[in-house]
Amino acid sequence: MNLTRAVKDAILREFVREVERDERIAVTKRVDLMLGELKYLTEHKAEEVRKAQRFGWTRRKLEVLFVLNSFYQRIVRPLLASSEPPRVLGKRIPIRYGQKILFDEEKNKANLKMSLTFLALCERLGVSRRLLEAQKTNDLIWIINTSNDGREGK
Amino acid sequence: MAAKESRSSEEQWLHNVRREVRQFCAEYSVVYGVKKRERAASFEIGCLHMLVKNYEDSTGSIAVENLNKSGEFQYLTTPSGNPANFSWFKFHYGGQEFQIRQQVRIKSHWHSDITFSPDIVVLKPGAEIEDPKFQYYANGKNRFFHVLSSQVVSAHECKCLTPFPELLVSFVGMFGAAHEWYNPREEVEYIGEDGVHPAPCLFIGGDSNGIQRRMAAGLEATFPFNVVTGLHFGRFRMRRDPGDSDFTIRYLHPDLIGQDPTREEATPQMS
Repeated sequence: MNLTRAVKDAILREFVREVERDERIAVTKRVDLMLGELKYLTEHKAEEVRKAQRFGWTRRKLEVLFVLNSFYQRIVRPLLASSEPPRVLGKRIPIRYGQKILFDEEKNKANLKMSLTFLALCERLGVSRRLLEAQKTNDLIWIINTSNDGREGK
Repeated sequence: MAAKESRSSEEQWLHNVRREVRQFCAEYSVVYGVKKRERAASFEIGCLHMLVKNYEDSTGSIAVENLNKSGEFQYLTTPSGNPANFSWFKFHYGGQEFQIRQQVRIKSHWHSDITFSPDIVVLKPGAEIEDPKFQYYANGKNRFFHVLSSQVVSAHECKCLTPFPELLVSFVGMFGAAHEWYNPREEVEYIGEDGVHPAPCLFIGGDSNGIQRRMAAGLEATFPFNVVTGLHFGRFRMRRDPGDSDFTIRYLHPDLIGQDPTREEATPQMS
C-alpha cells in the first residue's frame, strides 16, 4: 500500500470510527466520488490538475483534502448549525427533540468548540474554509488555481 | 534536488495531518459522534433559529409557548404527535398573532386527501389545528391532526443535502399544495419589499454548482419562494438586502396575508 492511500485511509478511518454506519458510508462515498472526479479531471483537464500541483496540491495532498472536506460537510457543519441560536431558544430555553436529544447551552458550546477546533486544524494545514466548503473536485481545483494566485494550500 | 525537497515537505504535511487528526478525534469524537438523527435535527433547528431570528428582528415580538414541565422547548418531530402537547412560537404583527410550528400536517386545497408535513410552518391568526378520527388512519384510533392550507402563511422545508434538480423541482409541488394564496391563474403581487413574512423557503445545506444555481434562480423567478442553498457554509442568517455571508431572501407582499403594517404593533415581548 502506498503512503497516499495509507494516510487518506487512516484519517478517514479515524474520523468515521465513532459515527453511525450510514454516515460512515456517506462520508466514504463522497470521498470516493471526489477521487473518481479527480481521475476524470486528470484525464480530461490535465493542465488544471498540474497547475494545482504546482501550487502545492499534489495528488496525495488532494486525496487527504477530500477527506477533510467530506468530514466537514457531512459531519461537522450540520452540528454547528444549531449551536448559534437567537436570543432565547436554545440558549436560555433548551430544546428537547424527541425523548433523548437535548440541545442546550452546554451542547451548543461543545459543538461550537469542536467545529472551531476542526477549522483551526485545517487552517494550520493550509486548508482554508473555502476549500472545505467546495462541493466538487472541480470546484476545489478551481479555487486552488484562482484564489490568491494559488496561495491556497501553501 | 528540488523534487526531493518538495517530496520531503509533502511527507511532513501528511505526517502533520495524521498527528492533528488523531488528536482531534481523541478529543472530540464524543461530540461529533452523535446519532444521524441528532445531526439532521441540528440542521433543522438551525433553519428554525434563522427563521425565528428573522421574525424577531422584523417584529420585535417572539414568544415561546407551551414549554414542557422541565422548562424545555418540546420539539414536535412527527405529524402524528398532538401539537397541543408540544411547544411553538408566537409573534405579533399588525395587531395580529401568528404561530411558527414544526411538523404540522397540512391538508391541501387541491384535494382533501392530499396531506403532508413540512418541517416548519407559519400559521395565520386564528389558525386551528383540526383533529378528526378516520377509519382509514390508524384504524380510527389516533387523531389526524392537520391545518387547512388556507391557514398557512408559509411552509418551509429543510434538506441537509446538495440542491440536485429533482429536489428543487419537488419543492414546487409542496409549495403549490401548501399555500392556498398562490393562484397561478391570476395576476397577483406576491412579493413585496415591505413584507414581514419571508416567502416560503427551501433551506438546503449543500452548495450548488453553476447549473443548479441557474435552476434555483429560474424557479425563484417563476414562483414566489426562496431557495436558500449553501447553509453548511454560511452564517445561518437571512436578510432583506444583499450582504456578506448572509442569505438574501424575498418577503411576501403585505396585502397577501392580510397584514396591515400601519396598524399598531403589539408591544415587543421576549420570553
